[in-house]
Amino acid sequence: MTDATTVIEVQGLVQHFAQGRYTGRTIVHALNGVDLAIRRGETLGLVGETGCGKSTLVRAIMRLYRPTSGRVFFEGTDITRLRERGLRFVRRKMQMIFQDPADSMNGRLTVGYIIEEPLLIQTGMSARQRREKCLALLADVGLPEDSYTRWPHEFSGGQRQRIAIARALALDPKVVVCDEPVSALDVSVQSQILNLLLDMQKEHALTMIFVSHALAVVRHMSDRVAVMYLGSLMELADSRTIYESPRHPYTKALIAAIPRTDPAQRGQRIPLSGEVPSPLRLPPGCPFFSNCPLRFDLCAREKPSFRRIGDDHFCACHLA
Amino acid sequence: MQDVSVSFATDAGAMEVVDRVSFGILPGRTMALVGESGCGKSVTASSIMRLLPQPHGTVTGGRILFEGSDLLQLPLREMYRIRGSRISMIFQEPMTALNPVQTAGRQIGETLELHREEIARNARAAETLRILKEVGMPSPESRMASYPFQLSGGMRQRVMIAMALAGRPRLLIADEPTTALDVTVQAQILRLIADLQKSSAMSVLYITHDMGVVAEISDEVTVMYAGQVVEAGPVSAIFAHPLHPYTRGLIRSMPQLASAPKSPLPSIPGTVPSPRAYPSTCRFADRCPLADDFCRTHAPVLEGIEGRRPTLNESPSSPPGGRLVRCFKPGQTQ
Repeated sequence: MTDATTVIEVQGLVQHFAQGRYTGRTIVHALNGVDLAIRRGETLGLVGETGCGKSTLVRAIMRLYRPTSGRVFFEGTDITRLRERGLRFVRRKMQMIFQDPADSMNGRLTVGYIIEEPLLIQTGMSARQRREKCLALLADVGLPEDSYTRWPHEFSGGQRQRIAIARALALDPKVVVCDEPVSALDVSVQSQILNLLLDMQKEHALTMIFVSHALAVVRHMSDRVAVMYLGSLMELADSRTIYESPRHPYTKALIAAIPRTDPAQRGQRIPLSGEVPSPLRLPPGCPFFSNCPLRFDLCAREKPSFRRIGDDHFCACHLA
Repeated sequence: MQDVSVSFATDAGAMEVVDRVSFGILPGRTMALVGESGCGKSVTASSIMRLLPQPHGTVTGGRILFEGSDLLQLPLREMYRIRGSRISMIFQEPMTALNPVQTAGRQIGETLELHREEIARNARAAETLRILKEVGMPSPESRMASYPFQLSGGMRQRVMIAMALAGRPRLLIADEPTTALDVTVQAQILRLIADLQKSSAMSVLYITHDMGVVAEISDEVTVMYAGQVVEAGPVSAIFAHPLHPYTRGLIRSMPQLASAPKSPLPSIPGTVPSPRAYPSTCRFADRCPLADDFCRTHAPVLEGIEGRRPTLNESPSSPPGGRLVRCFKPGQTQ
């Protein structure tokens, strides 16, 4: 099933977390059988509401968790059961950029050290080679050379995100996962960082996974978009299709909820009314059953499979 | 608000974070106060409620007139009565604004106890339930007994709105109430505020950095940059013809649903200046695509469109009236 264009493939991925050690053990069903193939050079957008499992999915793909069941392949190799030693080559090829660059950086290290640390761990480069590489990266992301000896707190949020991007690129990764990379930034700075990510992708031939709840941003950045709800994929298609002709009722509701930037278009949307069910007690049928305007009796009993409904268009709905 | 200035005492001396801000909100209307973090929009809102952090923050000038009286001159006792009854406030992160060890019902009941004396003690529970229903809380009976940690983000925001509405305010100040929420819940909350506003004719001051939300809910818009108002006017006019280059940049730098995917976005270069180093010239000049030597040496004032001096490259269709802008080159593009 894996062909040359697939970089990452996920088959039937399930991730459970146990909680409540003292208050009675319960299981959080964070991912419930996710199938996904990510192609070389594309940007896959991952959208969904808080708690839908999008961050869990990318962390499981990066093997920051040990999946409960299912398999994860990276460039054709099964990495599901690898231990730390075996994972080192994966870590090198998959890098991550987090939401809050202030939290994801050690404030007691200089910017130069922060960017060089992956090189120190993963390569045998000399101090001088590392420094050269680091200065080249700083120039790449648009930071002045003297940043090298400065500290993270001396930089603004947008500049810190540039440092995080430089660090992620230090090892020439194949895949970069961006988890809400601009959500913590000011509006006027967001577009600078988005443009930088687009440039870096082109320059370094990166495959990107772009996670965000900001739907217009995801549309702008992605070739294909996957929509998640309660630990399952609901729909997957190229970004134009997802936003212009969505087939899943949840995707439709999500797209309709995006604020339009034209005051003349206001008030034309019908918000979803209900709450997302708890991942502690999954509904037996379709995850979206309780909020779906189109539900019928089959939906309560049987979870719809995530199947192909068109050319490169997948959807998990009995009606699609 | 008339020429309100706010300054904070710091180790390095007084730092003026809000510089002579003026605007008015009519009954039953929604004013959006827009700007990025640090522009002074939240401080402006806090000054209305006289909730500036003490003792550092002080209003150094201006008047805040509310229903005819200057809030800044009122004795503190009087202010206590106004907060939560005549003027209410909702915040961005409901988890930090709610009391974690009291139930939702109790917290709403407290507002009733303080500000709605006409409701008898034994009728408070019924009124609390009615308000929770009004704000669209799912299964309100059982939620009354829930603690904040047992509620989702959207439900917490509904509890906070319920508390704010319990006193039947004439003015609701909403400080980024949907920023921490998902778009679907955001749409519900925006709809809720608009519906409640319609039924009670209350005014809303909505503070946000999200131009999408502004387009969705506001009647009038005031844009702040670096502690000053840079543009103000009716929402449709602001979006159709932004006059200040900063407003135009804010609107254009948002990814649009109609824009070409993966194309470079228009962006505003640079970052917001620090309040410690606000220049005495145009504060936006460093980031402005239109700035020339005149802009870098002079400070523009906020003025009405009619009264502005004519410029060379005036756009042929003159923009609609009732607008203010702080720029030497209003309405110009490159």
